[in-house]
Order: sequence, then structure tokens, then C-alpha cells
Amino acid sequence: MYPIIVLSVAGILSMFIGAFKLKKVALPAVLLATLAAFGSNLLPQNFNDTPLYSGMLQFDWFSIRYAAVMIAVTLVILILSRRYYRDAAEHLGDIYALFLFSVVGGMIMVGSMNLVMFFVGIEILSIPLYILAASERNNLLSNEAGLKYFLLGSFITVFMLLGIVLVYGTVGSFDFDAINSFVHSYNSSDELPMLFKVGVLLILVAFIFKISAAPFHFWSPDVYQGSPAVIMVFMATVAKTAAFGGAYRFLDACIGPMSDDFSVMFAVLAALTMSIGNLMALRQDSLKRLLAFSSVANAGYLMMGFIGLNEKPTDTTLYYMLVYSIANVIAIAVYLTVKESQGSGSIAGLRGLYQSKPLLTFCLVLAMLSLAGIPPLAGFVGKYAIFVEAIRDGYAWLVVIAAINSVLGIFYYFRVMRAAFEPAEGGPVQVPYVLGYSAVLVMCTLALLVLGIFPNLFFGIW
Amino acid sequence: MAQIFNIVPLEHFIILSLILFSIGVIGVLLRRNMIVVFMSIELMLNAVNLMAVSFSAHKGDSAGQVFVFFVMVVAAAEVALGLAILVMIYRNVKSIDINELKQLKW
Repeated sequence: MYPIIVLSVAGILSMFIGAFKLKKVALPAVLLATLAAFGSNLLPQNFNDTPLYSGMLQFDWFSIRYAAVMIAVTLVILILSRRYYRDAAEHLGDIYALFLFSVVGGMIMVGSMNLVMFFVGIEILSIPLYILAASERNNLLSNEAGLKYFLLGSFITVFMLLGIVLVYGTVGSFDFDAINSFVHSYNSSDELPMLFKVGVLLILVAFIFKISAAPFHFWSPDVYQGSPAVIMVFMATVAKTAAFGGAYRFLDACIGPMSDDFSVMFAVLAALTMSIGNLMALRQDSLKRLLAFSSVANAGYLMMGFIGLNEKPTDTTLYYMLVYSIANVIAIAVYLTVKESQGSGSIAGLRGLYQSKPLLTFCLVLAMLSLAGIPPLAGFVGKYAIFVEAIRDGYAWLVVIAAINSVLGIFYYFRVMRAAFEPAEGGPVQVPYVLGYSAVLVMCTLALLVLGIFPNLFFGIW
Repeated sequence: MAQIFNIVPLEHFIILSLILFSIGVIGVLLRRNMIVVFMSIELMLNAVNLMAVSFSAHKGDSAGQVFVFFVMVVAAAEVALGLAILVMIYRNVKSIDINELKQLKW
């Protein structure tokens, strides 16, 4: 609850920075506020096992963990956004405010215990993202990405609303606990009213859209490619973490007893999603679009965590999400550097990186190895943990498909690495220096290594 | 309030809102003019509102009516944003036809 308050106030104040032309203090102030939110999230007073505000929000361990990951990743993205927004003349305060509001929406969504709050959270998460995706006003690609994201996003949101209203119509309440005991009052989920089942399914469709899983993944490569790189990595990491957290909260707290009925559906969709993501990523030339399809593929791996939800902890998915986010942030940071010096966003544009920036290349290689799931990096541990749990639930066929997909993934991740080591035609590229950039990148890379070798650092804390 | 359901049964309200919702879906899928697409999304939202209000009256529970206010606020925010994006695109492309924007594919 505290981080929501801190970040909302910081976001509102950040908009004043634009009004008073205090551009220089914008980033330090926002970073300070994000750090304060991270700290207040871990305060013991923040933890509360009972729902607050008339049963609207609940900040238990689940939401605190998700909030911690979201705020931490946002912090890193904000630091790295300096390279991109260095020359931005106007609206800097507004852009940072939108980042903060979006995180607030994610936290509300993950912590919600009521369908109304849930809907408000998902909208507070999405509406800033629509603006941010279209924030390069004179770039037609960014315009198109913003419009596509906005149209499809609001279209799907209406379906979720219809689902919420149908659930309300059968249960008579928006409260998660009331809906949970309503589901409990039936012996098997076959006896549940038809309208209720349709409603739940419509809400799940909205989630499948938000996490860009098949068959509703079409928007994500386009939107990711068109929007500015900093926004793209924010959507692929923080917004996706929030969507997964919200989906967990809904499946677990709201329709808990019947969530196992969707296991087969999730298994099939997971297999479909990772196959489509990996196969499409094989033939991409643009680095951003490759990362977009890799994000679709990773949504497939993560969806394996929805199977047999009732018996297992949600730690593994969060660990995977954190590790994936870090690797993605590193890849985009390297992309930003290359784009700035060469003006090309293609994979071939990475050529000559090793000659001029060995440290950046080292970070990129480790990030790609982690995404590909090579031990001892953290991506391997995350994949391993998810696969083991799927086998334990009796979905061996899904794990076979996932393993084949991991091998497919190695192809295109290694293509990116190889490009970085090839010599450039015009000699080594020159990259302007930005304060603190390399330090943060190296810290992220070390985090990948440490989390991979000592995963208990993550699993043991909670 | 609930006695209206003696004259018009609840099913009729649900069917009416589902019909309105379907008209909205068809509008979004078939029309190429951005403003008409926004209007269709609004129609879908209002169909959902109608359904929420009729469920609320039928159950004698006010939560559904409060929910409608939330939906209205969010719809207003979305339309404001959508029109802003539309104006921005019109300045760049001089058209509000969705088919004009097709640079991002595959």
C-alpha cells in the first residue's frame, strides 16, 4: 500500500517538474522516489494479511514480492533511459510520471481483492502505456504502434468488462472472497452456471492478450517494434510481470477451486505460444522485433506455471520473470547504444561492437546466454524449475515441446552474439559516454550470474 | 425498482445488451474509419454498462451501479486518449483511415 501512495504522489509531483521547467532534477527526483517506494514496500508495516479498504486491496507476501520485482526493474529501466531521453527537450517530467503511474497500476492489479479494483488497476497500467507507445510524435512507426496498442487494448478490455459483469450477475458481488465461496458451494465446476463460466473465460482471454500469448499475440511484435526502445522494454518486463501477477491473483484468490479445469487449456496455449514465438523469431532481422518474438516465446514458458496452480508456490514464475526482465533490459540497453552510434536497429548493426566496447559485448553475451537457458546463468535455473514442476503435474509432452523450443531459441540468440563479434566494415564504432550506464549494465549482468549460481538467494529470502 | 422485472424479464435486458455489444464488435472489426471504430468501442462499453445496471437492479445490490461509474470514468479517459492519438496521426498522415497505417508487419 505504501509504494502505491509514494509512487502516485511522486508521479503527480513529477508532472509539476515539466510545468516549472526543472528538467535537470527530473530523473534524480524520480529515481529517489522509486527507491523510496522500494524501501517502503519492504517495511514490516506494509505487510498485511487481511484485505484493506473494505476488502479492496491486499498486500500479502504475494503482492509484496511482485511489487518489489516491478519497482526494481523500473528503477533499472529509468536509469538506463537516460541515454534515450538525454536530448528530449520537452515533457520529460510527464514521461517519467507515466512510467510511475503504470507501475502503480500494476501493483493495484496484483494486490486487488475485488473485481472493480482489478479493472481499475489494469486500466491504470494500460493507459499510460498507450501514451508512452505513441510518445515519439513525429515518428510514424511510433504513432502506428500507439494506435494499434490502444485499439486492441481497449477492445479486449471491453471483453474483460463483459466477463466481470457476467460474473457479477451470477454471484451478486465483485469481491474475490465471495466469488471464491460461490465456486466452493458447487460440488464440481460442471454444475456452475453457464454465464459464470463464460464470464471467467472472457476475463482469461483478456489476460492471454495482456501477456501476449497465442492466439492473441499479434499485437505485440508490431507494438514492440514501433514504440521507443525504453518503452518496449518496460512493456515486455514490468507490464508483463504485472499481467502475470494479476492472472495469478485472479486464478488463485478469485476462482481458486475451478482454476485446475483450465490446466489443459493453458498447457495447449503455452505450447502454441512458445512454438509461434520461437519460429517467428528465427527469421527476424530487426533486433527489437526479435526480442518481441522472444518475449512471446517466454510468455509461453511462463504460462506453464499456470498449470496445477493450487498445489505449488508462485516463486518459480516470479524468478523466471525477474531473470527474463534483467536479460531483456541488458539487451535493450546495448541496442540503444548501438542505435545511437550507428543509426541501425538491425542485428547486423551490432557488428564491430566487440572491437569498440568489449564490456558491453560481454554483458550482451551473458544476457543472450541467459535468455537461451545455458547454465550456469539464471535463465537456465528458471527454465529448469518451471519444467520440473510441469513434469510433476504430469505434463511431460509439454516439457518435451518446451525443450525443443529452447533448442530453437539458441539459434537466434547465438545469431545476435555472433553479429557482435564480427568485424565492422568501417572500423570500430564510437559510442558517446553516458554517466553510470556501464556500471548499471555490469551490475545487472552480475545479478544474472549470481542468481544463476545461487538461486537460493532469491528463493530463500521470502 | 425490482418490479420492472415483472413486466420486462431480466433475460430481455441481457439479450438487448448482448445485441448492442455484438453490433459494437462488428463495427470495430469491419469499419476502417478510426472515429467510427472508437464509437463502436463506446457502444460496447455502454452495452456492458446496461447489463451491469440491470443485474444490479435485479439483485437489489448497489455495487453494480457503482461499477458503472468506474467504467464511465475509464471510458472517458480512453476516449480522450484515443482522440489525441487520432489527431496526432492525422497531422502526420492526413487521413483517419486505419488502412493507411501498415508499416509494421511480419
